[in-house]
Amino acid sequence: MRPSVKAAVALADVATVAGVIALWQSDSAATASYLSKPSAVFAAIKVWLTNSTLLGYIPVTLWEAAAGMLIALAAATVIASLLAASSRAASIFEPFMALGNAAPRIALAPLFLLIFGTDLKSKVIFVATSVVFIPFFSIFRALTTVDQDLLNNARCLGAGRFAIVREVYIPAVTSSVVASLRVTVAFSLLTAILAEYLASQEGIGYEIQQAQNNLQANYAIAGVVIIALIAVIIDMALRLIERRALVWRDPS
Amino acid sequence: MDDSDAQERGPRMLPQTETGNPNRESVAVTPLLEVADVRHEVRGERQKTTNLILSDVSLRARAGEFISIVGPSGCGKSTLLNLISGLAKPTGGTIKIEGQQVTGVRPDVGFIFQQDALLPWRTAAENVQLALKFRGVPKAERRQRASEWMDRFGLGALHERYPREMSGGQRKRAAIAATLVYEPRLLLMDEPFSALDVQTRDFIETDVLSAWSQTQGQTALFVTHDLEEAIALSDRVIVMSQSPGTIVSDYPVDIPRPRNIMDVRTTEHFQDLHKTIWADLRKQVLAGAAPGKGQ
Repeated sequence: MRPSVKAAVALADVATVAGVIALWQSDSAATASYLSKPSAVFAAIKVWLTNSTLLGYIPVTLWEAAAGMLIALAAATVIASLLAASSRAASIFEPFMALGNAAPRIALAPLFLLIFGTDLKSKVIFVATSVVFIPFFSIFRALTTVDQDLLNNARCLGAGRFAIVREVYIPAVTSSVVASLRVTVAFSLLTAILAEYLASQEGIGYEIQQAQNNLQANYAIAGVVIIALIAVIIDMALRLIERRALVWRDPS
Repeated sequence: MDDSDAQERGPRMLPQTETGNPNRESVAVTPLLEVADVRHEVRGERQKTTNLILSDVSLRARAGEFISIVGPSGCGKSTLLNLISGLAKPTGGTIKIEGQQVTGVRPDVGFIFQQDALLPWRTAAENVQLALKFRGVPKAERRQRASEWMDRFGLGALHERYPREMSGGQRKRAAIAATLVYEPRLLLMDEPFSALDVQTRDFIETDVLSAWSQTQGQTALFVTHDLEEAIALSDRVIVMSQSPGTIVSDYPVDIPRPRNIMDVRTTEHFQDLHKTIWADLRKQVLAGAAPGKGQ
């Protein structure tokens, strides 16, 4: 994009946001009780970022999402490798993974909380089991669709089993994981918030739920805004990592 | 620039490396490559039928020979290379390299594929170093050796390029350098230039031929469907039948070396050879295309 076009796009973005906020602020008091007003939301964000309890909720949520996601990535790698190594195992278990992926797992959240309790550990488990399917399928596909020519060539050049894993399989998997990481991260945050929303004693999702119960829509919206900002920052960082890690790929 | 490079190395091209000379035939006691009565079947898609791909293929190659295999498409010539490379096992017959039966991929065999199979996540230089890395060659040495081969194939300025940043010809050059860097005794090539334009192909062939002529008796087995290319490069041209493939004839190519790939085709002798072999090859192609016999 040319710089002048880029500037115009950025300007249009700012104008859109400003327009929505202005419209929202000028709205009648009729909707204010449940939609709140930008000024009130802004005040709530200010409180959120200064109050130590509320501020402490942010790392709680991030920690649940991160721990859940890391467990999911590790589990996905192990399961996908096992299934990719054995076509028989794959034909038996892959349908279950597909079923698990298609199922509305979020609807099972209350069940999870019943089984594992409402503490941090149960949130992590919920995040991990909800998210695991995304990296699983991207790793499984990467492993099973590795270019046969690459494998034959590596073998002819003298690669042993270990060298083939290191030079061919691991890079192929890494690139697919990196490519799906942004979706995985977004989904981890989402499920962590959801689990907190349903039953917990802390976290951003917990505060959103509390605020709604107390008809403090501005605090609920503030929570959503904060988590959205965090998600955007992480996403930008991941884009940067992706570009670095996948320089060898076609620019998409 | 390629030509001057070849001339510069001219003096090192001692007579004994100019092979394909029948007078030196007696030197080799065991042939470098011996393919005896090889047949190969693969299971059909429904697992019930078997398709015969190769039937009774026998072939010997001396050290230092450049042999081309031509035949109608689908005649199993690529399969034959796969079997010789050890990537696949024949269902019958034996393949020996330097008297040893081939049981798997060997470190002294190189294979250049039709598709360039460079690792997309490795730079050109890293790709060319791969085989040396697999052989445990220390980093500094492999960097230097790879660099020499990249220079010989005109890749001196492309060390840090990823395959996607290179042209088809450059990728092919890198793939060739990546194989030649470990100086295989037997070099297998499966239609390596079929995807390239004619000019690029001529240049790369010139470089390949010059590299081959400077080795100490490297044997090259070159599969192609392009008869001109086969004659221009080789000491022998082997014609295979349509499927199931077998060897129908074996023509010596007595064009003196060093050859100029671009000029050799215009000589009368070349054209006579081409006419003779083509008459033979044409029969095989037509037999494959005949109604009721097509696949």
